[in-house]
Amino acid sequence: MKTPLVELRGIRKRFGPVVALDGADFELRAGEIHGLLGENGAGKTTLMNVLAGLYRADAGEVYLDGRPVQILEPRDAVRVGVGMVHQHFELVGHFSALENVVLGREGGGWLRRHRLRQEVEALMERVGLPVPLDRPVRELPVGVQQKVEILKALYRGARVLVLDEPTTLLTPQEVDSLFASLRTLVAAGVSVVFITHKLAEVLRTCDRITVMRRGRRVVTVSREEADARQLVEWMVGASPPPAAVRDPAQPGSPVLELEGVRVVDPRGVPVLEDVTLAVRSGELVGVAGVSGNGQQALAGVVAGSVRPAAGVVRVGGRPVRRGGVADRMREGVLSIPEDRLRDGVLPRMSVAENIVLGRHRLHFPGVRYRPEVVRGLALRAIEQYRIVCPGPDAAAGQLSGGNLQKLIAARVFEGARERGARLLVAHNPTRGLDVPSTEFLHAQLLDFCRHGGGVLLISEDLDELMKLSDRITVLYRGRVVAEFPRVRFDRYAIGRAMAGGAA
Amino acid sequence: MTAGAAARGRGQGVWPYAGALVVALAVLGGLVAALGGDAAGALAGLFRASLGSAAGLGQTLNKTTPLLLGSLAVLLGLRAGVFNIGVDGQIYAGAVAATGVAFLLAGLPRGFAVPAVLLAGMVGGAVLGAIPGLLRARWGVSEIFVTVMLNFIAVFLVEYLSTGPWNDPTAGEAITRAIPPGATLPWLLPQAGAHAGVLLALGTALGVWALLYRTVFGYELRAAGDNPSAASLGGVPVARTVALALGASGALAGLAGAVEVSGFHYRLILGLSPGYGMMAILIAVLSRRHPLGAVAVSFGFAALVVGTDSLQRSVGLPASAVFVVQAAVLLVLLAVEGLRRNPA
Repeated sequence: MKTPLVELRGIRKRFGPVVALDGADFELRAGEIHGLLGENGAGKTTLMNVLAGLYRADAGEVYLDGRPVQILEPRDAVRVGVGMVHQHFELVGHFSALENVVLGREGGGWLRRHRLRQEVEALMERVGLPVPLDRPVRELPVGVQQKVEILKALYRGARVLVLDEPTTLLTPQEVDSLFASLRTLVAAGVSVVFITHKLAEVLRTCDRITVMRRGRRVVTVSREEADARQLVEWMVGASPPPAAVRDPAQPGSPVLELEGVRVVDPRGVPVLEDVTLAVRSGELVGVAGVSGNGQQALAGVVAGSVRPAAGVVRVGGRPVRRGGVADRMREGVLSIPEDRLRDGVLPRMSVAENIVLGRHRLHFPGVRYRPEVVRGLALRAIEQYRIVCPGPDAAAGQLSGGNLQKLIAARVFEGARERGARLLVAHNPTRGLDVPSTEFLHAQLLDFCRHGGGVLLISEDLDELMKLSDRITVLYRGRVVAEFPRVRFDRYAIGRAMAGGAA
Repeated sequence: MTAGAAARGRGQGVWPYAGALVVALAVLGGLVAALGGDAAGALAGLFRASLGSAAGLGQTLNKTTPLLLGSLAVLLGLRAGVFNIGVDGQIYAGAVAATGVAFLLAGLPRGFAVPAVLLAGMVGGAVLGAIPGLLRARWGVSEIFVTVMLNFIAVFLVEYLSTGPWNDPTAGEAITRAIPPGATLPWLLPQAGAHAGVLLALGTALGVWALLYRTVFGYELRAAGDNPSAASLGGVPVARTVALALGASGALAGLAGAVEVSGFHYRLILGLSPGYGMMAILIAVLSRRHPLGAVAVSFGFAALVVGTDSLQRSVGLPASAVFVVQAAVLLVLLAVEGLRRNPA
């Protein structure tokens, strides 16, 4: 057999008490698209971060073309031709695509724009990834920004391109375009590692598939040998839990109504315009849309952290006058924030102190705060929501993204139960969660509906929306541009509406 | 930084600090020698003057009091996510209020006058702390600007009072008349010259600990300081909490001013705070924003300051050289703390 282009052998990496990689192996052949599949926390991203020089492995070897190489920092990875595109892009928003691509490689003291442009244009031509070079990247759609990231890696001489969860933020059309581009890249001599937890994507695009679980490789198979059921079993380690089944909703009275709501951001730019929608008791309403089309403002208006400039918000039939999150919580509205690091976690405080946030006044109506009570709540939640952490007293900032999300889910669902909440706003609640945790969270959302609550599920994951929602509303540039009842769900029609086309 | 590094950092315990102390003392000896002094004698004298004698211990305890109260003020702010660099101004505001009330209450029994004086100091400091708190809560004005500006106002107020209306005409310098004897703090160790302020400060440290870890307000304060956005989405009234924290922080600093007047100087003087506010920031950071840690660090700082001050007498270093020595020792301690946090 041919020598693999990249070989990782016995890679180990610990973060404090957590073993992220436990002797992981991986092989990439030249000219293939290799899917790296696994649940959240399986170690996929960590393993590739070792290859990209972002983490230093505690043990193990890296071989390129059969020769051992030392990759201690990102510079080393670039030198040997490894480039990685992260889940969250690292672009300078007000720089043009050209400036972003050549960033750090300008050479000399002068920007030789003309020569650099010719180089980048030649590169785009060769790999078949045309992007507009002169507009500030923040004005480009996410799918194009991603291509800029890929060009950036290739411009630095990447022969091995690692894409971490590249489809998360894309519309179905953009996903198609990305997959087509990957094929062209391979034809141009680039080898691709594609990190994902989405089975369908792996089966659709990859030549070979490596499944990881708990920091080790389970198996590497070619696409022909792979079948979906078997892959899930390898990922999860046992038969997967049954998917949540959506009972037909029998909606009751409205728990949330928005009428002509308009929100203006601090710069005076409207971010929501004339939004009218309702969630009734027992109903799960999905909000689809590409990130940045007003979802944050919508979640904020409902949760009480954003004040509308115009329009009416009614909770349980009564207009809310003013007031912040605390008032809205008393009225029975709870929310799972989109950005858990920014809006969800108290990083230096303990897991227990995080779990009680938003419920603390419920448990302690007086002056006194009782840490032992909080600890008890946390111990139960850690068990019930399977939060992997050193214990209730560990700093929450140490938790992995998936476990942080479980912590927030525990906080919100337990809080909803304790308060008898009527409405739950969940913004990308399963982003980055593994399969069992996603199923668990979906079941919790549906359970909340079954007991008479209403859910507003704002998500970028169309599969999730189609699986759970009674209705899907599409947001585009701050407006509701389409609405689909469950019987008319069609991913391409919804995708077109998300991209601003007619439904 | 990774979780692993954090875990290692915690595991190291007190050894880095012990090492830092050895290095600091070596630096100190070297500096004294370089400045033409007797290094061994200086170190011995330093110990005798700060901890190794009754009078020295008394001075160290007296010095601990404003440093501890000041650092509690700073760390309460830091815990709420605000940087109170106006502790000096709040110490002066507390001292002014305490002195004024002491004059008003001349002739009243100690059991009434002393609590009133201390309370006045807290109110004075709280007012000065509440101003930046409210400006920040209402309009998002940076507390750093406002507290720095208020420092100037407080210092000039003290200058006006000590040279003007309250001036002691017999003294010939910027100090006020002495406060009535009934308004002075009782002694803790009369032979050592230690007043009871240190007990007050210790009690306050315990109080701040209880406030932070055993009250709902303290929980909300820490949440607001850790991540205001998440706290706000958890229903914490962040702006109000932060404003209250700054007010409380000012009250603690004001208490320090009142104690200095009522326990140590018996009058308001210009230069009542020789940079306590800045040292309090260092102590708050070195004690990792924990009130009980601040007790130990304040005591160590006080011993250091008192001990090095004595070098003027014991080896005849000029006052400015003493400041150089103090600063060098501090730099060593801070460098060690920096290395501990971010191992190279």
